[in-house]
Amino acid sequence: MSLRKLISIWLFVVSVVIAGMGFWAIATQAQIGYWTMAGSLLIISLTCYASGIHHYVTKKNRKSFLMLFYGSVVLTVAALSIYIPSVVDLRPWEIFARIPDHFFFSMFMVVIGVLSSYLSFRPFYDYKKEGAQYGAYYLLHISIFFTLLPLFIIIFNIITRGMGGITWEFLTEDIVRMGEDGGVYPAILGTLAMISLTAVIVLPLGVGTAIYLAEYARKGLAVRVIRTAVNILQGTPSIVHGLFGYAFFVLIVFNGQKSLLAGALTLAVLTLPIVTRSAEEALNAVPGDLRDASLALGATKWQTIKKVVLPPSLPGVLTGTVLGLGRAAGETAPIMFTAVYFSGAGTPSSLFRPIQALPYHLLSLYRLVGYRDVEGQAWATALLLLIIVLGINITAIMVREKYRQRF
Amino acid sequence: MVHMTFFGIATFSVLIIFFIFIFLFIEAYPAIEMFGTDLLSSEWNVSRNKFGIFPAIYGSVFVAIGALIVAVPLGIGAATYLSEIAPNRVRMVLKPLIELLAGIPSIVYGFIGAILLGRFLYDTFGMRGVNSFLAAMLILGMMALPIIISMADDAMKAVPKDLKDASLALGATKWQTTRKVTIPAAISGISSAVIMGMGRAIGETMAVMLILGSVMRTPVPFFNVFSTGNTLTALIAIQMGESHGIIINVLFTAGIMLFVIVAIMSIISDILQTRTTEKFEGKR
Amino acid sequence: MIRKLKELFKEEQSCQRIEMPIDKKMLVEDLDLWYGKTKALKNINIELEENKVTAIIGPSGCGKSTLLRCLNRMNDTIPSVRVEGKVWLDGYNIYDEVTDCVDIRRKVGMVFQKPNPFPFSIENNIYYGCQVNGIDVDKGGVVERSLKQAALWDEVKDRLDENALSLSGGQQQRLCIARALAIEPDVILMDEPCSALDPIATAKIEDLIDELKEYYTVIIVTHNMQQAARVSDYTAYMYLGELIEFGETTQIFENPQEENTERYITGRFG
Repeated sequence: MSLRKLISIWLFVVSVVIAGMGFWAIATQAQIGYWTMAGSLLIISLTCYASGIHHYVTKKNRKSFLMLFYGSVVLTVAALSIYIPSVVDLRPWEIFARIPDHFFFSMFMVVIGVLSSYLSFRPFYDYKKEGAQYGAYYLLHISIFFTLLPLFIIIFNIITRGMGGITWEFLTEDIVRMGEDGGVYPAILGTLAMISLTAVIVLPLGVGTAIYLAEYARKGLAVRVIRTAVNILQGTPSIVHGLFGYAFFVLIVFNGQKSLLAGALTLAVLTLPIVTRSAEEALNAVPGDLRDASLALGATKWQTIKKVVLPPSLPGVLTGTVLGLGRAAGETAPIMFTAVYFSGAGTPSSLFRPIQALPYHLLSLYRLVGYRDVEGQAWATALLLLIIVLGINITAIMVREKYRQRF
Repeated sequence: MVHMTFFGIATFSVLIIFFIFIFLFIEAYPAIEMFGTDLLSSEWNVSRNKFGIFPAIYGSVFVAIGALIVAVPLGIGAATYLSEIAPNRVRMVLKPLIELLAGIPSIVYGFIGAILLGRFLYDTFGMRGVNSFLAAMLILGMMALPIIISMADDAMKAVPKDLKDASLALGATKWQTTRKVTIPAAISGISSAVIMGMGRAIGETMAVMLILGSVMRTPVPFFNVFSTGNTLTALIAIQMGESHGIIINVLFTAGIMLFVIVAIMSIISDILQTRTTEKFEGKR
Repeated sequence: MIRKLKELFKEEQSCQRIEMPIDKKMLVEDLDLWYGKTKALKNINIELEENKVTAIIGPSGCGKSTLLRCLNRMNDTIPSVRVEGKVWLDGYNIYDEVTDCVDIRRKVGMVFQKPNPFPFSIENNIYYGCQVNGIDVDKGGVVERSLKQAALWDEVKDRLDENALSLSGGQQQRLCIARALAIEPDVILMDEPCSALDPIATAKIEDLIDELKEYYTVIIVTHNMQQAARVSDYTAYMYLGELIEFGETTQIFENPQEENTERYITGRFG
């Protein structure tokens, strides 16, 4: 192995380690001192000089000046940061924050570490275009890593902190003493009742719309308008759905009374575009020649849809609906003005009475954190909600993956 | 006959859009009539009967821009990874994982954000409380990621393979092909993804309400990410339960604004997307 | 994974070299290719003449496009493909472990079945190849030279900044040829370049191919036998992944040695 590659690998490894240290220091609020940071940057910059000089001496490649330049920049950052005061106090500018120097130091380590490891690909590949390619690929890997990291942090935290709170009482009792004791039994039932009712309402509407769009519609103004409406509906913020549910279902249809039905209707409006879109996708996946074959045998259009198109697309249609319901189960904003009470509603008994629901329960508990001892219960509720919602989603996704490769 | 039945069902979505607008407007009208443009002032004082929602509008935009600064580079990077370099097996695992990320309820994000991230920032920066724009931007960025990733990924996947082949056959590396052919060709789809991500960030309610603290003030100076604040969504969510009378009507005005802003974004994003499909399917 | 790492740390070594026979541009030696488990090319041996047009013909599915794509390693973009054997270009094996397939594609240009201009302006389409290969040339000059070589200059010289997708199909295909010529390759591969075009556009492209052989070695895959007879100097006939017969076009069309070839040429096939 050539010295050039060795230096590049050393630069990469050192930079990754330094970036990792910086990241770890930020996360744990460890106090990185000036000399730790400066020492790390010094190692990086010396390596860069070594790489640049060696490369120029052996290959006379002027592109290696990049490393010399970069090494100087790193060195300058390290030297100048001795002037960073121990705390940068922003309060004179009415910003209530104090940024400690170790935060800057850790930040430098992360940024320069990532940058150096990215640049280390250049000398490794002799400043050819492969170097740029693998450097970029490295950054892309980092971005997918940081995309998924929060998912794991969230799930890890909720599981470890919520596990202890899930007990038999928690699952089977009503709220006691504002949520300090007791459980969420009515809220579980309420959420389940609400999404079942939502499913019953939204399924015919969503699938009907999808059948129209996929099977009957020809290009034209009507279709454009319907499609745009579905898209707008999909983008509409859930709080607007909540306002609409309150203004229309609660105030006008049900005389100012929050109820299970009003909540389910609001959620049906919310999930309608999700169901429509995925159902349309499933219907479009059925090949056109199947339809032609049926029509050529003298079947009517409706018979064709019923007998030929719907059966194979059913799994897709249903998973779409289930995904929509997963979303509905976790929503708070649409139901908070239309259907739910924090406590006292009891288990759902009538379509026209309010209920309790898990997401709203979590919200109410959060608002009590600090005033009452409910944080454990709140974590447990979050875990339960996550289990229900992700459980629904995972089931739907697995079913979909199973049936995807049919045609 | 059957045709007309399905057409009837399909018009439901259109009908709902109209209904939303009309009923929001009916409830908002008293406030608009009473206060007029005072609604856009920055003073919110219930006892003096002042209901200016400017701080909430500013907060909505501010927090959405911050969220995009977090989410756009990460999201486009991740989407490029998924569509261009991930081997099929990895892609089959990552795509559902990202969908799961989108499935986490916003109230859970809000709870985690307020408790973990809020406290973390509070400790690190010695702020006055756990609520801040910074925390809200980070969490909202995270929440906008899945939609940006999946839409941008779709857009890049839609670029025909023969364009990429043409570039490779000219001696370009895979990365040069991605950067100079795939991304420019998919740019309208990618922008549509960014717009939808912004729509998501503006429309997000529960998370932002818990994290931002819902304090009716405009940050000073205007870029102060350590300040607390309010957004249109959080304003509605907090005040609806605690208010009555004219305030409710003011909140509906905020709701209409929100609805119109996001609807316009959806339409723009829609147009951009049809442009992409037409570019590659209509032409050839 | 481990193999990849080993490859990464391997010393640079020089490429195998052989002495090329006179007037030959490329040699294909014992080439086998698998798509997953199906063997699509079986023991291909062929010698491609310099500054001549070689046509590859055969019924659909015989592997002629696959063979063409082997000549500039375009098959590397398909994950399930495995290639064994050697292809020599000017004495270097393009399937050598140390050969960079990106360099190969710079020397061996390709024109595809469907016109596939980038959705950029006409001049940026031409300049793209120089840009990605870091060739430092005058943009206007390259654009003019390539478009003139591709007989497109007169039709588009006033609208070089227009989107390439606004051109007609035949013009698009000539633009793709011009784009391939811009980086001055040694060999040009054409994969049924006229199959998506009308007769007039086809005639233009065929004239063009005739002019191109003065400077380039052209290898063209076609399902149209008249076309092969019109434009090519040498013809290879393939059947079910095997090279059945290779020789001068006149000989193949007038006096085929193999019965299979004769049946295909005379249209008494299947």
